[in-house]
Amino acid sequence: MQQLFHGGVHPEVDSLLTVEAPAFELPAPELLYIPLIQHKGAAAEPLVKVGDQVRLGQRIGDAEAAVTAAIHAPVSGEVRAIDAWHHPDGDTCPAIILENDGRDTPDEALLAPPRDLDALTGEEIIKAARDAGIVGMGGAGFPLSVKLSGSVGQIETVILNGCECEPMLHSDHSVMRHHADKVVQGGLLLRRAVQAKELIIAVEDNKPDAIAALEQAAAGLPQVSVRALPTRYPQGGEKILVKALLKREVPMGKLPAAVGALICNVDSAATLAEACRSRRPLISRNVTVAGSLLGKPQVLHARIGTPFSALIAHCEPKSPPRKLLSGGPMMGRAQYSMEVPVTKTVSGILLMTEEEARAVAPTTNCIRCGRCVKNCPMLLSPCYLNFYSDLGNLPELERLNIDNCIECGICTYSCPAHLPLLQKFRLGKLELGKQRRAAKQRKEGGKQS
Amino acid sequence: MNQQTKDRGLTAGEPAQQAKPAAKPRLPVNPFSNLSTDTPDDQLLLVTSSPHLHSGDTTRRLMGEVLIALTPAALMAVFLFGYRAAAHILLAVCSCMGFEALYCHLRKWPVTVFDLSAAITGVLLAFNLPVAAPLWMPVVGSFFAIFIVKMLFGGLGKNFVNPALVGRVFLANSWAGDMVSWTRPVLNPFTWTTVTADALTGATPLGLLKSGALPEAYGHGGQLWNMLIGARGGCLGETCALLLVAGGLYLMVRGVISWHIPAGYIGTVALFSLLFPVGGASPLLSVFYSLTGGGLMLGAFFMATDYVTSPLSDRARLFYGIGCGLLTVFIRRFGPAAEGVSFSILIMNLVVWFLDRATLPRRFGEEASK
Ligand code: SF4
Ligand code: SF4
Repeated sequence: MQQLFHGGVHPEVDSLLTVEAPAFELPAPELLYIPLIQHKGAAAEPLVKVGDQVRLGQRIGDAEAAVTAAIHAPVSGEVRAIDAWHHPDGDTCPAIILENDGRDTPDEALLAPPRDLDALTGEEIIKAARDAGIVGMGGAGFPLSVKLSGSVGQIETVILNGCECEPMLHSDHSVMRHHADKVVQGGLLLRRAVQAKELIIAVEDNKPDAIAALEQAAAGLPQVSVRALPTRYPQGGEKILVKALLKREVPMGKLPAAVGALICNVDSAATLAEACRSRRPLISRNVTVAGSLLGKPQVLHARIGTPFSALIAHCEPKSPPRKLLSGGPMMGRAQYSMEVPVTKTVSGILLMTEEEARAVAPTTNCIRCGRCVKNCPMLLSPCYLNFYSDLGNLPELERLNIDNCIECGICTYSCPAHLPLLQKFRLGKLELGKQRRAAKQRKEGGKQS
Repeated sequence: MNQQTKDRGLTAGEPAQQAKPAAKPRLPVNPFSNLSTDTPDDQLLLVTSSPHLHSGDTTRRLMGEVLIALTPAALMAVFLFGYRAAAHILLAVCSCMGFEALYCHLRKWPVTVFDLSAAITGVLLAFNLPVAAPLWMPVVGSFFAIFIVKMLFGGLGKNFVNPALVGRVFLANSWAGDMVSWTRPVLNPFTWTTVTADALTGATPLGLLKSGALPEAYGHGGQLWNMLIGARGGCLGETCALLLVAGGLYLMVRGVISWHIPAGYIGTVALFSLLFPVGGASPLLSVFYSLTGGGLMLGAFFMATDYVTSPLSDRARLFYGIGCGLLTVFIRRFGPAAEGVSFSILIMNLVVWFLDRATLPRRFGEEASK
């Protein structure tokens, strides 16, 4: 098979669902929990008080900081509480708890006449992204407006990432198939915002229907190309995608802008197109709900703040899950509660049965089989990283470029010794970070005295 | 939790525009209020760090594949040399696994024999014995291989040289006479081979090749075929080139080993035998006998490819194979003995660390210099 980047794997897992029909609009639940952190950067401050009546699409959280994103009410109703609540990234986070009045009364801003997309200037587009609270919906959660304003003029190619970050997820697939025109429009808006030349939409070749829909939507637009890539995890990773498409490598610690590329998730692009036209903020998204114990696994369109349990209940679970993931099987986060809400970055909910969750063999010592080295997309030597992290040798970990690890989990996935490789590397990175901060403090302290 | 899911399901399933319930929904303020502390562990959600998927490969499966690949050659050994060969193999496998279990027991480690790596060491050690060797030899060799070379260094994955090879070299140097008592193949699995004067051949084809005493007849069809199926003097498992190659190819097809080490190794030996024919033989005969006359096939496919003692990356593996090949050619040509496979691999084992380091992949983001 053609190999566009080093390593990678193609896990044979099937989510047993199709995106034949558009994603089902899940009715909003009675109570919605809207975390104030759903993005990279500063937490949003609540702009409402307990007891306030809010309207659908009204801005209810925001902050002054440079890197942050606004948060909007996904339904109309009453603010019942502002309190700590479960967060899909683990732990708890302050959240605005809304009681849905079931009427979906829209905010005034949403009632304004739709804008003409072609008339918008780059600045207006960036402002629209800011106003709509759009973030990277593939999982990174980086505020789109910040990404755009930081890279105006430096970008040659805008890449829309339709590679679906992980196996088993079909959220973006559904967007591309059923809203191809919005995806293309969004991509063109991004291109205009950063004054790029080219727009590439990258899709994996296991989604021929999405490719066909996009090609149709992009017909007659010479600046847009739809590229089918061989299906291989982790192609959806930014650095890997740039490598696969442009044959260029993003240096360690740099953003894709360093090689003239801007990457944006297809769903974010479609949301941007909608936000530019009708001013509708990011208040709902596609979520893949999959797992062998579901009677009807499917892609749902849910309001931000809907608890996982509501989505799961809609998919007819045959038994309670033993393990519940937010995200895909490779990088997803295990949840401790079914009541965690959908946020802007939750692309999938995965349920695992007892057997699937416990499918682990006993670990042995590293047998130096070389699979991890062969499969690591970032050209690392996980085997040696493992060796030095067992020794606690941080300088050597640093020399072996542990900072380059994108935490794709492929090493752990392929290790026949069943070693928790990535888990050790996370710890190593954490320790290294601590050490660096301590060293920096010492240095600064030294200067003062 | 299940109950709660069901309740949610009802609310979620009905249209949002339904008449509002009179009472306000209960508001759980403490996020942990719905997690009662007496929930049994197996009903709580399991939280682990990603990834949550595994390829399904296990150490035991890989080792098992190697054993499967070695089986045809083992059966052939019994056919060629009689059931004394089977006794050697069984003794070596049992004592290797036994010693490993014993060591684990003494050190109070979890018993690791079921990863099957000790069984491979046993088979390989037996394969490296002449069939006429006394029956205590596989046991003593196993002790040395497992106890001293593998377990004292920390067990699986921690030994830096191949235990079976060290076991063989240890035996060969301690009881040199017994280790070169080559017998003619009997081609009858039901014979108990013993060392009698007329069964002894005195030399392997490789030895004959080296001394320039390869008989005329060795260039002809029947004898060439005998070389391929292993009907010749030699260690009990090394002679059947055909089945060893088949086993090696099986391992490649199953993704257990890559082609780099065997190709580098065999290619180098073949090239040098072609360019500098041994013992006055014709170039092609020299290549043929260099490849099939000694332990090269066993070494290249099964000993040099041992995961633990070979490099990690494909590039390093190629260099490693070539290194083994060069050393083998060198030792065979200039050393006192006819065979050099064991020592070449052992010497290359020692530079694996260096090879790994020297071939560390460049850092992602530093594009290959044009
Ligand atoms: S998790 Fe890190 S070390 Fe492991 S394969 Fe992925 S990038 Fe490489
Ligand atoms: S995959 Fe596991 S056993 Fe194989 S070299 Fe890497 S760490 Fe060692």
